[in-house]
Amino acid sequence: MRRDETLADYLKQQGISRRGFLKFCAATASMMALPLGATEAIAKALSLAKRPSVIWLSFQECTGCTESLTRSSRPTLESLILDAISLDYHHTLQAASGSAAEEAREYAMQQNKGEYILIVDGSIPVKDDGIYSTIAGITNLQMLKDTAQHAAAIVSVGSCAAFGGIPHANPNPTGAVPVMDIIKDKPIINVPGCPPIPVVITGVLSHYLTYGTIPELDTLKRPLAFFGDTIHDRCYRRPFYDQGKFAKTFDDEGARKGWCLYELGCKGPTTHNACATAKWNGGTSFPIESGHPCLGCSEPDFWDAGGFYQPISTADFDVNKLATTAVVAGAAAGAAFGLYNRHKKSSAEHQHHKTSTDELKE
Amino acid sequence: MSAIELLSWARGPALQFSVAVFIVGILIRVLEIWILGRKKDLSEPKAAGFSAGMRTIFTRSLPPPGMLKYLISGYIFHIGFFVVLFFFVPHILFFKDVLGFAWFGLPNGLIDGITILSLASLLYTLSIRLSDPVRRMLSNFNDYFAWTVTFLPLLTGYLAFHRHITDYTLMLAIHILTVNLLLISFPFTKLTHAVTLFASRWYNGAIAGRKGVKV
Amino acid sequence: MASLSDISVTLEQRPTEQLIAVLNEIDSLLKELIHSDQQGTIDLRSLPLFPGDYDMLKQLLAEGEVSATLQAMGPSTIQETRVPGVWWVTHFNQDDEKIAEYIEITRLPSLLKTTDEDLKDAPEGLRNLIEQVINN
Repeated sequence: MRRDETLADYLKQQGISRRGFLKFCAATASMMALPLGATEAIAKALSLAKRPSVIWLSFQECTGCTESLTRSSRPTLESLILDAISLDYHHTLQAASGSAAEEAREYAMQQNKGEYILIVDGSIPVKDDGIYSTIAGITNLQMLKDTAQHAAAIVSVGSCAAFGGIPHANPNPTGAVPVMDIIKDKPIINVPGCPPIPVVITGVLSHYLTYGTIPELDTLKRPLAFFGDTIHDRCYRRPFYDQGKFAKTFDDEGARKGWCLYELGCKGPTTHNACATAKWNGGTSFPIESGHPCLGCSEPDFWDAGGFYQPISTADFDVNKLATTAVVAGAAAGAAFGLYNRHKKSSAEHQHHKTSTDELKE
Repeated sequence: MSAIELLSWARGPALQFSVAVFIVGILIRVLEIWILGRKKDLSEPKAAGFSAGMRTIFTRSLPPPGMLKYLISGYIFHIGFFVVLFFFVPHILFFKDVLGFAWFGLPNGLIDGITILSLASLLYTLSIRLSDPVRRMLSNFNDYFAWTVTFLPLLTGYLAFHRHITDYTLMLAIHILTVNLLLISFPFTKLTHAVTLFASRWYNGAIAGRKGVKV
Repeated sequence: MASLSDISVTLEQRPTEQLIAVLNEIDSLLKELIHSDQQGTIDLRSLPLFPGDYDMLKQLLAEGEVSATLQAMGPSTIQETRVPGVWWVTHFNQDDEKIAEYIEITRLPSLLKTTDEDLKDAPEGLRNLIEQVINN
């Protein structure tokens, strides 16, 4: 697809009829959690949309986010969106490598100054001037700063780029930080999740393609369309939570009947994501539906928030150990103070000087 | 700091500190008193002290004349607080972690109603304290502080559970923080009565009983 | 060797609150269509349906008089249910993966109508066909 072509022209060339285009827009509306009535608006906007240049930088990451997005090698809605954008740089996916790849990136940055979208996955190490992760001899820190300078907007894909993720977890040996801690002067959209739901990533890109603006964000810069509700708010097992029907172990009667997983450590109530509605693998299922409690992977520092199997209402440390230690320490301290007080009392009695009438005369 | 980070801190380092202060503080206070002991009473007892003490624990639980309303609301609060704390399922999960065993819970709707009753009775006792000139004169900072740190966990717990009123994560963080405040205040205020009241009543009854006086 | 299918999983087969809520929503949208000619949609992707609810809903609404298949970027099925005015629209991509699913409350889903853009190009296409016939 040529850069000055619109998306509508591109699809027409692919032999897609107007009906097909409208079907595409309806699916996009559903993906963006917009009502079907928005299809017309999307169709109109996409008809005129030009193809934005996208630079994708992968830093300290496991590549799970790229995998999530591209897992399906067959043409899907997601891949169509990816075709519609011009992915000018992605060091995992692109054919070029070495200096040719870096030149391609710099060329794209120049050609589309002020207009390209920068997508980042992976956290950025900053300790020791950021030497713990480099590409082509350039530190991630430097590459981010350089590339962000003339970007229109930045999308931090995955919990690592959005919040620091697993490298940021205790003890954070590389000094990993999220994108928003480094870049302060550009609009940033956080799309967290470990990995994020593919349809959420493309939904955000679709929004930008359609409207040319950043979608409405929450205080952690996550798009409200996908991260506005908690898993708990949309969980199909909610009636069981309300009725007090909980699975106590992974294989008991309650678990087999699909009861609520609160007691097994589900973080659904405090986790904002679209897993309960958009689901995974093209709408097949999501962790809770498969019988595993939610890990809370789209929230900051979920790795350090106590155990995955610790219910939210419990302490996120070994409280039994602390209580036992405190009892022993308290007993010892109490006994020590008590005995000291007795000693003070008896020595005061000892030192008590009985006054005689002679002393009073003086 | 976002709500979820505050929650992690509240149920992490903050709770660690609070539980430690609570347990160590109470043990020090109780052991200090107990180990100090009392001078042996060498006089001949007119009646048995021990049973007189047990009797007093019971009689002090009954309303003195003219105090029925105050006492009923006091009981509603105390029993309500106890039930909400120990029979609400998420709380039971916490105690299971601490103690290693659990027990049955009560339906959420029932706990909800009891919470409202407890909050109402607390407000009622506060209103009596404020409206009666003698009580108001006798009340100081410690009294109002103890009332507040007891009221807040009930209120914030109720708000957290009812998600349509407030954002859940933030309210849960605040709820746990108010609980931490209650735990830390316990050994330093009159709230210690929760642990010492029975021994205290027994002692008063015992010394009076030895002298042949029934209290 | 034990397999996944050996694990006994039972579904509570009774109408849930969610199912009844969806049916009530269809009812109110249908009334709006009748009174003020206002079309309505329910995006099935956005509903937290209990496993079993979806099948129950489909069974309940069943199939009415009209069945249509759209072949554009993969198949789509447009089915009027046994309740007139309530259509079940399912979109698949070229690999039969479901990409969207709606319940539309309308006299006729808009996708069934021939679009203006396609109509504009129709005479040219027809002219080419006529020329083919003449030249043969």
